[in-house]
Parts: sequence; C-alpha cells; structure tokens
Amino acid sequence: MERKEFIKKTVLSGIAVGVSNSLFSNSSSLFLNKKSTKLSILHTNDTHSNIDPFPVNHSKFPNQGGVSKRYDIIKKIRSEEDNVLLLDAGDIFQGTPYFNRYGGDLEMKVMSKMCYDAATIGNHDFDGSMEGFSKAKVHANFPFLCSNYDFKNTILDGQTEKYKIFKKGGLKIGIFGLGVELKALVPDVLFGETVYLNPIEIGQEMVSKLKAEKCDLIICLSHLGYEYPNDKISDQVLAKKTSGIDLIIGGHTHTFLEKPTQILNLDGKITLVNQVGWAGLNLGRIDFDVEKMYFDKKEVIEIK
Amino acid sequence: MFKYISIISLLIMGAGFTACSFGLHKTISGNVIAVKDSEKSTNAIDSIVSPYKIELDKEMNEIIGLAEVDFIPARPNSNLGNLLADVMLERGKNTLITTFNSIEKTNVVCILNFGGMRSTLNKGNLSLGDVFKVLPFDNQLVLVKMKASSMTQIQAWLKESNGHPIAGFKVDSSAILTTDDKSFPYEDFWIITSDYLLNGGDKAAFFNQKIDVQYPKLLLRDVFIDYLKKEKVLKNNLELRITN
Repeated sequence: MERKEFIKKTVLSGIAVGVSNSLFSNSSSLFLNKKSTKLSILHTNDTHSNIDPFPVNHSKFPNQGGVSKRYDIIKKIRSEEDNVLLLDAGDIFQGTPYFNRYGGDLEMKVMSKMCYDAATIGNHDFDGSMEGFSKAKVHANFPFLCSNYDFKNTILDGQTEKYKIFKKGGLKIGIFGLGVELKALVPDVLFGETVYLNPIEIGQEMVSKLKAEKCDLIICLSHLGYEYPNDKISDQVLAKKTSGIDLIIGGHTHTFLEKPTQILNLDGKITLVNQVGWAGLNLGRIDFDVEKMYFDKKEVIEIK
Repeated sequence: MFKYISIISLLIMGAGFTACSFGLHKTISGNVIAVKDSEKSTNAIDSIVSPYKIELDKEMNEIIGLAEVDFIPARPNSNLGNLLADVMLERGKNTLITTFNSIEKTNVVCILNFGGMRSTLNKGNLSLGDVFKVLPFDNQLVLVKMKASSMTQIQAWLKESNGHPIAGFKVDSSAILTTDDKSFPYEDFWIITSDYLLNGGDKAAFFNQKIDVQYPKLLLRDVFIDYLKKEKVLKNNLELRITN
C-alpha cells in the first residue's frame, strides 16, 4: 500500500483516521478506527500462606502485607477501573502455621473471595502432597494454569488448564502457566509421576495457540524464577528465547522489582518481566493501554 | 483512604510498542503497591480468616523465648544458620550417643539447607508462631553416616552453592577443618541433616556416599522449639564457617 493521505474526522466515540484507498471500490471506502482500552493486571507471587501482616517488630517489613489489606487495595482499583485481572504466580502454600494446621484451605478461600482470575502452581504447592493440594483446591473458584506440567498419571489429572482466554473490554487476553523443574527441588514422593516439560518449547507452543485464537495480549504466569547465575531456565531466559509473550508475571526467586524489566525477545520486541517479592507484601500493577485499530466502512471525505 | 505508597511508576512509552497483531499498540505502565498498615482491613476477608486465626493464635502466640539480636539468614554465613546448625548438631549427637556406644570418637557435623530458613527471628520475644515462620517445613532430622571421601564433594557443594548452614566443621577453598582448626580427619563421619537434603534436595548429591541412615522421627522445628524452651535466650554467633 502506498503512503496514505490522512484526514481527521470525529466518528461516534473514537477518533477515526480516514483512509482514501484506491484498492477498495469507490462506493465503499474504509476507515481505520482506533479504540483504546485500558487493562489493569494486578498480581502477586509467593504469598506463602501469609494470611496476617508481618509482625510489628519485623526487621524489614513491620506490619506489612496481610490478605485483608490486600483486598482493600484490590477493591479500590476495581472500583476505579473497568478491566482488571488478578493473577498469582504460585507458591500460595507453606510459610506460616496456617498451612501446617489447615493444609491450604484458608489460602484458597481468601483468594476466591478476592476473585482471583487465575494462578499457577509453584513448587511449594506440592508440599502437602498432590492429594493435599487437590483437597484445598476444592475451595478455589479460579483456575490453575499449568502448561508444562503433565499431570496425566497423577491425582491432579484434569484439575488444571493449559491456558485460558479472558475477555475484557473487547480485548482477548491469553494466559498460560509455566512451572519450575521439580526434581531436586521437591521430594520425588510429593510430585510423583508429574512430568516436567521444557518451558521454552511449551511457552512458544502456547503463544502459537493463543495467537491463533486472536489474543490481543499474551501473559505467562511463571514460577521459573527471575534469573540465575547459570543457564537454568528463568523468566529472563524465557523472554529472550521466545516471541510473542507480552508479559511474564514471575515468582519463585522472591525478587523485589521496583518496575517491570524489559527484555528483547526473539522478534526483537519487548517482553516485560515482573515480580513483587513474596509473602503478599506487595501487589504488582501493570496497566496496558491497548489501542486496537480496526477497519470500519464509512464515507470518506478527502482533504488534499 | 487508598494510597499509593512507595510507588515507582514507569512509563515505557514507545518502547512499549509490541504490535503483536494488526495495528495493536500497547502503552504500558507498571508499579508496585506496598500493602502497608495504613490500608484498611476488609470485613469480607476478616470474617473468613477469623475462626482460623482465633484457634491458631491460641497455640502460636505463646512466648517461648527471647532473641538477643535479629537472626537473619544470609550466605555463606549467618547467625541464624549457625544457630540452627548448632542446635541440630547437638541434638543429633545426643541421639547418636544413645543409639550407639562408641560414637564419641567419630566426627559428627551438621549440614542444613539455606532455603530451609524461611524468615528471620526478630530481636525480642519469640512466639511459637515465629519459629513456625522460620522453619515452616515439616522436615525431619536424619542422621547419616558418610564415607570419608564425601567431604571433598561437600566442600565443592558448599562453594558452588555459595554456602549453607553448617556446624562441627569449617571450610575454605583449600582446606576442610575441624572446629578447632585442625585438618578434618579422613575417616567415615556422621552428618546431622534434614530428610530434604538427604533425598536429593538442593543438589546434595554427596549423600549417595551414605553408609547408614538413622531416623529419630524428630522434626527440625520441634528440635528447635525444645531448645528454645530450654535455653530461653538465643545468643548471637556470627562465626565465619565458610570462607574463600
């Protein structure tokens, strides 16, 4: 297509860019319309059964965190924004006596009350055995997205999803989940016959699927870890060696990032990686303003 | 009211172009919202948590000791790591002595894993709940008899991993020493450790050189709770056991 003459014309709610286009018939010209949609992604990782705030005498984070106050922040944002997704990157379990005594029921109940949209499974979510996870999961009203764990021969078969597509404000958001290698991290007896699949290969496969489903945004919930001194697969490695992932919400390494890290992916485009420490001390927020362009048949007034 | 506290806002204008489908233009901003005590509590959540909390607090709020300083995990050495390894070593040794007769002459060391220390013990009164936060895992104390040759593997593992809590020996890049700075004797010895490490956790592959394993059916956490209840006060020990 040759360089077009642009005109500005107000059409209904949005700004339309008229395109006088000789490729189309004279009687029906096309407008290239722009529609902007704001999407707020809220996220946690490695909350580790921290139901209560940290103690007031804590050396680094006195009285910080706690599910009750987290929900207050989430509620406020939901009242301000039309399109919100609330996500968790795994390790919901283990870290306070709430887990030792109640096996994860309470964690699932409060996350359900907060209306989490999806989570992935971290290595510590195996700590009470897969049966224990399955029992606690009864209280969860949100899906667990696990793309690279094959649970076929385990009690978790059919209890997780490889990906899920969310529709918010006209946008399609594809979300999938990647977990860390369990061998030497979780006792064999706890993960049993769970098969770990290569996160990079599976990640790219998920992107292809979600693109085929015409997703406008692709998000990976990852429990791989932010970065390692060796060549172990991390979020950074995942971002570099794949294409098409817009955002990786990470966990596992309890990394406190002040802002999302920008990484050039295989296509030379930017994949964002974010992680907000652990224990529910922080809530991550990433706002996307997505401008979608679409053709709309309109009368064209050309201004030369 | 709602406040953004310690928000670092980021605008990735332009750089945020990802154009993954036709004409899609994404502008992105990201920030971190600290869940501070100035936020309000929410009844919807409190009413779910409350029955669990009341029951648990009864048990966990019991004060069982005192920390003279903050005990904070760090690598390669830390006062928390030293403390826990010392406590496990002592209990493990005692268990060995009651199990075997001639154990006094054998070297006994303790190796724990850094990742097993999940929080800090803060200066001041310590409740049972504080101990659960530091040692949340239901890991068991195990006693493992090892071949003499495994010690060089342990030294390499400690170096490569940038350190784990140890007691009963010291290492640097060239030497393995006893606690009184003598060369660690080349003979079979016992390791007091956790079932997590014994079962291959944290790549502790040296346990394939085990000769014998004893399971006294004690949780690491319970051993520490027993110690704290008996000793009452935790004293600082920042001895450097792993050096380069």
